[in-house]
Amino acid sequence: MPSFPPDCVSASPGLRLRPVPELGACLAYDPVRARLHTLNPVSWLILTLCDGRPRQAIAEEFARSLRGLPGTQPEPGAFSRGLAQLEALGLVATHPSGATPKETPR
Amino acid sequence: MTTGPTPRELLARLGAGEPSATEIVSEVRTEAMLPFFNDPSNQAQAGGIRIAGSLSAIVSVTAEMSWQRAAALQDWLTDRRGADPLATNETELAELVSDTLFAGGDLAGTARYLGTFIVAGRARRTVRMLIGLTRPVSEAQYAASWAKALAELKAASPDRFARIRAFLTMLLEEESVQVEKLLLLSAVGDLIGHSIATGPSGS
Repeated sequence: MPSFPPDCVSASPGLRLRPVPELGACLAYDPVRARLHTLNPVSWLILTLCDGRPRQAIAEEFARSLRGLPGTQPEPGAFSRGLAQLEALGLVATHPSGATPKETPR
Repeated sequence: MTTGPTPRELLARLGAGEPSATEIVSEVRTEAMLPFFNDPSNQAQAGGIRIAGSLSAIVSVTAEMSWQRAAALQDWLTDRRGADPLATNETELAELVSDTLFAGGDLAGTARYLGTFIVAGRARRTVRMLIGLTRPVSEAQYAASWAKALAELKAASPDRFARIRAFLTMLLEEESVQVEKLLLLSAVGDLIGHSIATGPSGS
């Protein structure tokens, strides 16, 4: 029986995403901090999955999304490292279950 | 709502790897920060062009082509080779030019692949591949070095040869192709005084 509700992860409110496929990246603008970031497709995928779901559900969906893709697969722990990078940059935030983000990335 | 491909579509095309998220930090660049000539300490800074020493000449291969053909060339240039995210067909081509052209002789290291550019003017669109030469090289020497480099590549690595050949075929088989040698005007001497061998004299 869990003592605490699971941590959920959401993208920061107001985040603007613009794919730049010719560079193999996505630009993420955080209007609150006025910061621009570049995400490779793996980090971009993690960010798009951060829609308020529990961390574990995001990790499972991430693994499902990568299954069957050609080329090199990420090393074990890639999801945790990727999510930690996004958290450090302020692009995602962790909150208790039930709290929903005010705005999803667009 | 985002436009364009989804991350999974991009991953399907590029393959997965380690996640990477970095902040883009603005910087002020001035002409003083863009070394091009005679700054071997800062070779890689000028827009990715690696030049050690002045360019003696640039060989320009220019062809007008359809947008589809240019897109095919672009696809070839950016097609990845192996697990290294920085290794592309273009880096292979650059290595061939830098390491193999003129290899084994006095002119070793003379050639540098500067890049393949699209020239989008009002009247036409052309694709231009530029190869820099840091020392004077005759056209005969240049042609012979390409023939030798490609022959050696074919023997050593048929797959790599086939890839390079595919690119050169796309570029050189265009009817409009022009191969020109550009000389640094300030370095060729007195044009009026007939000191350039290839130009018309003042007579």
